[in-house]
Amino acid sequence: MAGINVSATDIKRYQMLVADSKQSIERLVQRMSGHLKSAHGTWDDENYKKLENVAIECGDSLKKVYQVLLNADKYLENVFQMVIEYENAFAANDSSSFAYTSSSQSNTASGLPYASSLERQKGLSRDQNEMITAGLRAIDNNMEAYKDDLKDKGIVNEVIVSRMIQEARDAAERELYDDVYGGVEEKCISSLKRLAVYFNSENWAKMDQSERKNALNILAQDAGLAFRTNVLGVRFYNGPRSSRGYYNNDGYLYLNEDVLTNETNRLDALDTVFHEGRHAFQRAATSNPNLHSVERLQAETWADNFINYIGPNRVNMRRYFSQPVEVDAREFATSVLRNGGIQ
Amino acid sequence: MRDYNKILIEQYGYTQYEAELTIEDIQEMDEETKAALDMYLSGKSISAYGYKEYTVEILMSRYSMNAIAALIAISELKKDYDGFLEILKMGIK
Repeated sequence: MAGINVSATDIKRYQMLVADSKQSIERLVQRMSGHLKSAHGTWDDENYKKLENVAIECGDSLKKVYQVLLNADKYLENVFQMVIEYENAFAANDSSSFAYTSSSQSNTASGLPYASSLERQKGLSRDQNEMITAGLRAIDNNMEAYKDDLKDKGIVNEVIVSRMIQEARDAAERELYDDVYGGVEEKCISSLKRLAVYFNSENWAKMDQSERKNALNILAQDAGLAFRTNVLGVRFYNGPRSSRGYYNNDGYLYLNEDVLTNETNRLDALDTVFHEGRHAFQRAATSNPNLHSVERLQAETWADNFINYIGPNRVNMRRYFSQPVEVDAREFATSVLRNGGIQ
Repeated sequence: MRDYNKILIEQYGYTQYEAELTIEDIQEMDEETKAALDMYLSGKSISAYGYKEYTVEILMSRYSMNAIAALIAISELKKDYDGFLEILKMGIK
């Protein structure tokens, strides 16, 4: 299992790709022979011979590709079986003790299984989606009742009524989404705790770069679920030591690659995942504050800040440091790490 | 009196907002650093200018700052060395 860094789902996806490619080749060969048949008798002999030679040449190449695909198919099936066995074995293991017992099951440098082989946190279930639909419907009804209530109390000014209803709706929707998804910070803390075995100083020191990458990637994706936004994973870049990370709105959290090579940057790596993840969350919250359980005024402050974002390279770094989105991201990440029990 | 707004926008590509903030910081600068800024804007080299272990050159290479931001950083270090050092050490994320 050394170096296998994929899940059974990934392998199934590769198998489907291979199956698609095989079918494409089969269809192509059929079409070629169809064209040859229709050309036969209508083309003059010399040109037909040329066409036939090209077709034979293509056919030979396709046969080779087809053979490679067949081999890939067999290989993937074997890998799939191995991964399934591995994942089942891991699932049966006591997660609190696997760090110390799994060296016989894994050829990773640390003896820990890859973080991606853990049972993954999932997005919303069908029940949860139904809870949201029903909840939003109930809020609509409540708002109608609230409107009548305000009217009964003699509050009829349209601007005031509309504002009061908007505020009540916002609060109710934020509460609904928090109930369904769970609190953002609490979920981030639980993600960190779930993967804590990878991030204690002792195990982190034993892990090679590939394992560290994998663990940070899974943490980022889990954090993305907590943030109610789609975080695709982490990417690493070679930058000066002062540049710790960034988020550029493409779904990935970017971390300085020195977090992989320098053991002393372990806490900084975690802090940066939650800091950049929080920026992803802030951006998402500006377009849909209620879904992210963020007050409208807060979302507007962030939106204004993103428009007038102060980069650290041209303007006073103190101003960069104290702008709202940076203060929030910094405080959030610090709180998650403090409460996530990572030292 | 230099027209910093014009210089920052036309020569250094600052937005109006960045220029306004930067002009506020220039007004708060100590006289020595302000003189260094004027030298820089006149085309003279100020890369060795600094405070304690931080020079313009070091701030530019370690923090990818331009010379104007580096000079502002030096004036901040002079005003509140420990506080600004903490900001520098946190890095950019």
